[in-house]
Amino acid sequence: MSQRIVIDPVTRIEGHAKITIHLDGHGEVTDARFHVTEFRGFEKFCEGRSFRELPVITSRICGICPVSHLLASAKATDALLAVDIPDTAKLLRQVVNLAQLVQSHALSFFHLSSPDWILGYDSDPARRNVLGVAEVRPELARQGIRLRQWGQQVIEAVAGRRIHPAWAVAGGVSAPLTAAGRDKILAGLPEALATARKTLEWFARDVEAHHEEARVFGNFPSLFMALVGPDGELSHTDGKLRFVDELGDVVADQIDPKDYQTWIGEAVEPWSYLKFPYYRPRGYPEGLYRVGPLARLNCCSRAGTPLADDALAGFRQLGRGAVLSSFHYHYARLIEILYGVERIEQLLADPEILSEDVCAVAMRSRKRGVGACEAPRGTLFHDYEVGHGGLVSRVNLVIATGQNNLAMNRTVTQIARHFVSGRKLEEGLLNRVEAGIRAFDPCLSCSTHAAGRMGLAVELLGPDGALLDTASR
Amino acid sequence: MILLLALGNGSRGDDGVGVALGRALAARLPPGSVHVEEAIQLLPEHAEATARAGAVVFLDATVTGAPGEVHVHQVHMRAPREALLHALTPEEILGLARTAYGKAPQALLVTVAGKDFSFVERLSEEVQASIPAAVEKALSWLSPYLAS
Repeated sequence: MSQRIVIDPVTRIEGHAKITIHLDGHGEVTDARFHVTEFRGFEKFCEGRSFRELPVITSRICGICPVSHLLASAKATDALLAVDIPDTAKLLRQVVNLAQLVQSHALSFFHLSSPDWILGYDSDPARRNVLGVAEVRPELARQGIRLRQWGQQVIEAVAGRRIHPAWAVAGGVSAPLTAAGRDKILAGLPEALATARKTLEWFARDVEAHHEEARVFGNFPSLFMALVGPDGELSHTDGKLRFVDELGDVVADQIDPKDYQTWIGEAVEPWSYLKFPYYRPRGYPEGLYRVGPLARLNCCSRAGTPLADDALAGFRQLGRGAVLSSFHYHYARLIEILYGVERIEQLLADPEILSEDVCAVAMRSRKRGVGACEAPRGTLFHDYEVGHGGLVSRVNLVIATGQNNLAMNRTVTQIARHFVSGRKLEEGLLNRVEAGIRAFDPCLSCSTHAAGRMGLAVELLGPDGALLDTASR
Repeated sequence: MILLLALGNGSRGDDGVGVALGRALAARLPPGSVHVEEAIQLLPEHAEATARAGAVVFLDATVTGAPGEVHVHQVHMRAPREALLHALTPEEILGLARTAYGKAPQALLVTVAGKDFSFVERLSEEVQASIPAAVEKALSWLSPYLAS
């Protein structure tokens, strides 16, 4: 007789989801599923709109990473125009994308995940949040707040507003950067850099203390995918796709994102609204791959900035080949914050950064356009087809969290096998399953294009589907 | 310095009343005495500005009450919710300000009950008409801080 446990919903992530854990007649975990239960349908209601509207419309998918959708969408519309946008527009898009990476990673690390490490997985759930962190480590809480604030200020200085800027457009961007805006960014940069370095040093020093989590939080061989530059360096806004395997060997490289469907298939399951992308040459579900900070650091040949390259060398000591534990997404996030701050400084030093030549004017010349960029949670694709009058006839969005769907399911199964025993749910299990999911920093608002809030509930089901136990908060 | 945290989404009809209130109230306060932050939702970083302020007024729409009904009440620090999400409440902002920055000023929450939260960029007549009364109530509460 088998049994099933359900965690519904999961806390401190964006969107709605629940988890079911299936047990056999001996109380052993046979399977676990991460269900995404909300649906919004952006792909459908974008149909019939002018393609020039899509950057603004699709950026509304998410309040945390609107810039990623804005940029991927603008790049898809650039492709429809078949234009090479001005160099300054490329630089500014990079600055904004990296600023969003910094603010989103700071939110994930300091506000959402640090309570687990600072206060402990088994600490009182009522205190295990950023206010609890502020009680015991007020300086860390303040630094996290300031770092995220700086990232948002950069977005505001370049793109005009912090949330849902409508600044990236087909052909470039709508406004140049002012000298005052640049100087404001630079004024806050030393503090952001100091926070990034200090936090990374602390976490790297203490990483061994998380040995148990690193061992069971999504620690398995898989492929990884990310955009990289021509020399294999980190490339968050442009670049080509690279896949590496668990040994860190490159299995496919310099793939134009417009050809993504040759390499990525999208499976569906009846129990989730979240699609299950997979690496097509290996088939489904064997073609499981991961995206996001961990994947980017596993895929790149080098970071491309001095301090991040030093940090990357240390990070790679965690694996033989690729770093496999999903727990190390957190570590990778900190290295990317450091990289982002360093790289923004480099970009702002470019002599063309204040140029007013920021947008190309063109008419549509293609019927299909694909745009891709690295969102904080991984590679993001916007794929549009347009028909008569430039009206959109088909939209396909491949979202970072969706691409980690197979890996998140496997992570939940691994954690459940380690921590579940018997027919009752323990608080420690809930905390660790949540934390395992949170390592991916999933954004279900993006990945199902769904809205909502998330709590936590779990169901335990028997082999005949009977509900044995449930827990929620 | 008085901080006005004006909350809402102007693209959702009456949800934008917090922002409208922030602008109307700021126009009645002495120049240089007020800082207005407009936001869709409260975030942890608002705790820093809160801790620096002499007094804070949170301005927001509510779905509770007859359209245009104005409510004011003093905000008190509150223990955090069990599952802390990305958006915080005024009570939690005060709690975070006190915990992380050591200071939580006196704070008032002013809400106006909305009627229409659909995708329009205008306030309903009832809500628009309530703005002067809401501003007067906030000014009355702020008067001791302005005098000092």
